[in-house]
Amino acid sequence: MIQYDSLLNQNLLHIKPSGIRKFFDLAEKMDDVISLGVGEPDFLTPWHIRQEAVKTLDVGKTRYTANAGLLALRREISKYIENNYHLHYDYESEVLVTVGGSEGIDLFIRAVTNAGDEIIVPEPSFVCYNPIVSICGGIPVPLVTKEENNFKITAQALKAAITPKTKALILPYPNNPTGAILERAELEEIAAVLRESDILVISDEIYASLTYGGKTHVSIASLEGMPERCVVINGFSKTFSMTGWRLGYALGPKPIIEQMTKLHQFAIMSAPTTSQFGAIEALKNGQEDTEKMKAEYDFRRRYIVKAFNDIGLHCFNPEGAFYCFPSIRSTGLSSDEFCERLLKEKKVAVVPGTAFGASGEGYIRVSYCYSVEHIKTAIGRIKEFLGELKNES
Amino acid sequence: MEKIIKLLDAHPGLSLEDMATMLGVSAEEIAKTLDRMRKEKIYMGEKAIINWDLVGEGNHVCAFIDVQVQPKLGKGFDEVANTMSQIPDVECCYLMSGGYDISIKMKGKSFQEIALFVARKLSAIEGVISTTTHFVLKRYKDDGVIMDTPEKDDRGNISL
Ligand SMILES: Cc1ncc(COP(=O)(O)O)c(C=O)c1O
Repeated sequence: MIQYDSLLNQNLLHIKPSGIRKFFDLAEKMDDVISLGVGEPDFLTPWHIRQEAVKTLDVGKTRYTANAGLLALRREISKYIENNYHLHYDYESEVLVTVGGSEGIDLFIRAVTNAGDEIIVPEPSFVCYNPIVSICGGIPVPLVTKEENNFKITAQALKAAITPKTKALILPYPNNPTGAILERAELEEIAAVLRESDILVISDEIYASLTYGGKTHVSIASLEGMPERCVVINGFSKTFSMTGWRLGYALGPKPIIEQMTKLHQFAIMSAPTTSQFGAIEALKNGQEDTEKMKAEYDFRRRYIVKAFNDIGLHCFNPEGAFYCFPSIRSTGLSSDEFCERLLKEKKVAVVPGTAFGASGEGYIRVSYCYSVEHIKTAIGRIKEFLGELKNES
Repeated sequence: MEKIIKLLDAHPGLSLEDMATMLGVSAEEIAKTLDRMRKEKIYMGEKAIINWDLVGEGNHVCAFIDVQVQPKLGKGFDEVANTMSQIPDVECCYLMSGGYDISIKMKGKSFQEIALFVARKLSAIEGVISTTTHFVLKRYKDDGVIMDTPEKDDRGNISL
């Protein structure tokens, strides 16, 4: 018998499989579920983007592209981020087209992490940062954010988390799962801490186009003195409803992007060609689509936040992304118990806050990438569930 | 008002309270604006979208009719168009640019009923020069809604 455990990469082997796998499997097996559980848009990719991509297939654009991505795409990216986020990156040396924002995150962490390096990871947050840091032999250092601070990291807490081994800070805003954003003044305070150090920042701005209430996304890399220490991750999945196209991009100082490109070249060659052509169309002519989708998300956001508060689950007011993060503490159940029982008893799927780090205990993540009708039905069932819980006690 | 129109357009049939929540304003303000919009004939009501093809029994035939009209001095096409709009089975009536003047969307119980109506009534309206009738054979999309939408959400139930 082969002892696979001794053959496999030990860092990988020791990463705990996510505890909620069981819950996920259960949810996926049930087929009459009213779900508020997915992290991707309900909108399809806008028609003109699909059409432009198909056209390039028709004329035979089926080969690899340059490792860093089509030059024409990088040029459009550089224009787009300049216009939208006041970011200035040279498209020939500071822009890398990746397989989703996901690959950009992976590349950055692998490009900078040496064994023993500490990477500060705010929590609750998206699930991919910690495992990748661990695989590289780095040490993820959780930086817990709290609802009383609107799930924002604070300069003070950041300072306390920094040690001589700190290599980088992950800045995941607008945040999945909380919907929190960071505004300019808050970013300035964080930047002030970082400017005195050699700490790098990877700013995961995949939801940058989705901020609400008149607030626009500010990138930390647009602040004085920050571009030299920041890598910005963005992509097409959420902004243009292009999740399945697997396309994103990384922006950063040439010496870092160069190393990330090297890794990308060996591991991936180049991002999918058809997707890259679709992405050019998205950046050139997709702004209106983004605005429309955002307006629709905003309707739903206001609706769902009020609905949760009305049925007695206190809900933080999210200002970005497309999730809300209501507290379920009042039920006395843990997040896992709440979600499992809600699924089994009412066939409604939401994600336990603990999926995004231990500090997500007491919360559930609810996606509003669903029609208002669908959201109404789901909330109705959650209300019933809460009523039955009350009767039990 | 612009925001209310966008919301009505995307989500017809919401209660005042829901509209207020979704726009972040008070229900009174919504009610006032809707009232004004009704008075100014900007807001004309809401209609269900029904896939008549599935209702069956051939009772829901629909036709587009191109009408050429001799415009009247001083009145242009309005008189004829207003007359046609009075016909209950005429669902839409538009003045058009291009090869003909008025476009009509009509419903009826059968092809024959519509065809006879066009021949006997519509063509007889004063000023009508000619009509061309096109019957709808299959509805793919109505009022922005694709009839054959997949029932199942292909995103699955959960992803992070
Ligand atoms: C915070 C965050 N970052 C990155 C990603 C990855 O997105 P993609 O690889 O599709 O660009 C996601 C997807 O859910 C996310 O929520």
